[in-house]
Amino acid sequence: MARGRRRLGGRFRSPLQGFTSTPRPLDGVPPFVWHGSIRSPEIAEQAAYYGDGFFHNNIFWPADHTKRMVELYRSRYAHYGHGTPEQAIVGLGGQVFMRKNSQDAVREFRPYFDVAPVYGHGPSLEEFTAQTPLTVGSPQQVIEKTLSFRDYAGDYQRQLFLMDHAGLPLKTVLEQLDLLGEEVVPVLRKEFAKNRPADVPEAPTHASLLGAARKNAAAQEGART
Amino acid sequence: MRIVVVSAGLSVPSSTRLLGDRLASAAVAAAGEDRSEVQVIELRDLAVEIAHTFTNGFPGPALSEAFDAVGGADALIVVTPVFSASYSGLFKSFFDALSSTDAEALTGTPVLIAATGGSARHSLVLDHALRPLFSYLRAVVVPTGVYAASEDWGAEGLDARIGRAAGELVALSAGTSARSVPRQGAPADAVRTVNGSGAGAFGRQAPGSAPLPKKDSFENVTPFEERLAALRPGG
Repeated sequence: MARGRRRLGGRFRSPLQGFTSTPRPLDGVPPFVWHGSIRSPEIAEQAAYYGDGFFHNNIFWPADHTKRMVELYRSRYAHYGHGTPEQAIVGLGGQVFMRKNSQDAVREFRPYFDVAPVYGHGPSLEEFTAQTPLTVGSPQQVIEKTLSFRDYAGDYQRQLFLMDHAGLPLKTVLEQLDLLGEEVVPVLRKEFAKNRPADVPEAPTHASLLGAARKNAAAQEGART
Repeated sequence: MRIVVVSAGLSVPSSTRLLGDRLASAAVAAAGEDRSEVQVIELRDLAVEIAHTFTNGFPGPALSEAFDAVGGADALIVVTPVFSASYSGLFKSFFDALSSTDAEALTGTPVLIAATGGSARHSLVLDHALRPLFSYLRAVVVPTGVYAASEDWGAEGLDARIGRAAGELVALSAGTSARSVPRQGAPADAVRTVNGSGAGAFGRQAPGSAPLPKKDSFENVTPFEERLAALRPGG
């Protein structure tokens, strides 16, 4: 097989000829794999089987569903011998709209919320923020709500925010990113690090995977000589 | 015995609610007052959350509580007014929303079906609309349904039907030992292992029995290694 060029047979779909799957391994190390899911427990099971990361959408639904999905993944991760349930690699989604003053955030976001295809014409903004992880308010409120995800998901490794939603104009989205980067993320990093048990790992990065691979190779070399 | 009444009556006071209360009293009398509790769910109060469930995909807090009550009932009494020759849309929507949230919520639950109408002409709504609906939902439908037209109230016959239906409901509830049978995984058509959590909760299918797809089941997720094994040649 030519390096990087593959042919995939077609038992469940039409065959693929001469395509290159991406991303490619870098420095001989494959990228860390995340399995993302909203409602299929089978995906949590699959992520656990391989010892890969599990990312739950988390948004648009009550948190008890996310809790059950993450618990399933963690217990099956341990079942397959990859580590303790607490050592499994979890990521969560979140969605926010913020202004310095929470009342301004609510006033500005509501007209978008009310007519957005996925939000509008259903529960009110207040009901939706009470029942799902959506936060509309001040950066402090975003911080508090996001930190509370840990109560049902345990100490977790990655938090992904949906910022460009409900049809917000580009300028507003860019302002939101500034607020997130300046006022929210640094506090979250600090607060999530507090009281995190020592055996809860960081999410693998290319550097950590490469380091582990080299260490492994050196150990094997050592064993041979 | 936990008796739950679901009433789709809209007016206040409502003859649909009145029929539900009469049936519940008769069921309590048959089961024994000290051994029964009654909860009445008025769908009128849940109308908005029921509609939102369809657009949102999840039930709101008050509706969730109602679903829990119905799902945990030992005996269910359901009463609807007749609208356009059938159950009311609100009544059907409640059970649509319930079954899309938990397809097995009513599996094995004894259900007494009842309806009210302005004339006796629609009495077959019980057997042509309600009975198939609850059969589909895998409930155990009581043989006697109770239909009350305006002229039935205070007339001879209604009390006797209420008494007979309630007696059957209580007997069925005792006979099915409170629906725990299918819930805990005995009959082949409702395999569902209820277990605490963790790896022990993963029930294996008996050889040769096809796994039943169940939406959002966290108890019976097929282990991934079994899925892989099924793909191997000769597997």
